[in-house]
Amino acid sequence: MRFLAPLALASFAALGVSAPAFAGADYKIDPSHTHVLFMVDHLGFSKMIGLFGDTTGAVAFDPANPAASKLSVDIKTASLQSQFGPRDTDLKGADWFNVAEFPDMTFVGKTFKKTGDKSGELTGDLTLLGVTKPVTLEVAFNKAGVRPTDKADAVGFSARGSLNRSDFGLKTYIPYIGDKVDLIIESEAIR
Amino acid sequence: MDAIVDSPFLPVLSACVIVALAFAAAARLSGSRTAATLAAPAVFLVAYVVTYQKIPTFPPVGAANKVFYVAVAVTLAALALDAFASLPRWALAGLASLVAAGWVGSTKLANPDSIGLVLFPALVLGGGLALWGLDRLAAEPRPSGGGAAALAGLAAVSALSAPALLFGGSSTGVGLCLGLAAGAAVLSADGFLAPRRLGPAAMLGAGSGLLAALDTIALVTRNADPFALALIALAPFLGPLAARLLPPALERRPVVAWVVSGLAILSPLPVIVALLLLRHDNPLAT
Repeated sequence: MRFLAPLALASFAALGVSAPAFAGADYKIDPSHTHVLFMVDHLGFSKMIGLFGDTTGAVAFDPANPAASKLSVDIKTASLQSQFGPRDTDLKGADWFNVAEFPDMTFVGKTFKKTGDKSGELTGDLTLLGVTKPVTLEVAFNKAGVRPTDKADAVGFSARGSLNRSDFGLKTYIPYIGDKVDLIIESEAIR
Repeated sequence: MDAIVDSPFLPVLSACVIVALAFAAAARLSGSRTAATLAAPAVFLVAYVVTYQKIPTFPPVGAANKVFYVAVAVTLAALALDAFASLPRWALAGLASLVAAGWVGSTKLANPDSIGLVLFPALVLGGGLALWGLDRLAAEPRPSGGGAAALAGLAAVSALSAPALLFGGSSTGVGLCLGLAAGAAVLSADGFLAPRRLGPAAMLGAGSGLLAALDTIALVTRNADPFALALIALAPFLGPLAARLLPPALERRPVVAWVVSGLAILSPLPVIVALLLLRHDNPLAT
């Protein structure tokens, strides 16, 4: 049970938060050490990897009651990168992430379930393109403590999950471009 | 052969050709002007559904979803106005362009910036011009005008729009354009063999959907090339111009007028592609 508190915190932070969100929030996502990647099948040949570089968020955390903790994550969709400029333009366009009309992708953590000594499942609501659906992430707590570089009180975690983009109305070029999107999240949160 | 079979565009091309053949058969069997008029908008809607793999929920959220309902709304309004009112066809084209740009760009227009304030009237004007040019072809008598010439013009304008959308950050729009171009080409060939008149809903319905897709990259994502858009807007007028330049003996031959008109509207394609290659990153580069 002792591990649960940092794990819950870490898992919340993992989801990428931006937000001014909660009064008395304990930790804030460290954008410079938070990476939200996605992988999607490309014609069956390989997985295309994209990255959102601008993720912020806030966590309100009660060590005595981790289940009551709150999380809000905001990912700026315009921060998408895929290592190829024209594809980035396409993915940011109205047919895909439509960043002009939907500049934010948000995740709000709802429930946390412990699955191991340093792992758990975090389920929350992901809002993408104006559609909100539940998404579950498998979260692994990595470390909590003082970062030697900046003396910040930090927690770090890794999260993995997947979603079907069609659930969010993003059906373009299925099945040539896969429906299932794998998520890889590495994050640190500090206070 | 494998490249064709494996192409992501094969489903939309096949679907649009099948729908075009079905509408052509229905128009022939029934002799209905409405069936002939609705064929091109139906092809556009099928191209949209197959390309985007959905019928967007209503009311649509997001510009790409509004494209579908722009085509539906303009088709129905043009049918109704054609039946119950006597608005000039140029006014209908202008209204259709206004609906397309206004609805697709509504999010941006709610808080307009200086670029948007210039873009919006330019797009309404240019779009209205293109739609009027296409519809004018449908209203002109043969041999240089008529349904077959207008549908060939629609196919050509769709083909012109494909690279503009691709370079404008909408690779999905390429499928939409190719599907509409294929379906319109089939309808044009059938219209040449069995000439029939088209109501304004034909060109305005399908054309406004195409226009809405172009408005999306121009107004919302701001990736459109203005020179390419200008050439697309003017292209429908090249058909009648080329037909008039033909020697009288050739101009009177329907097949010559039809082919020359269609090719003349398609003729800016190499210029558009060259412009896009010179002015933008090539999305097909590896």
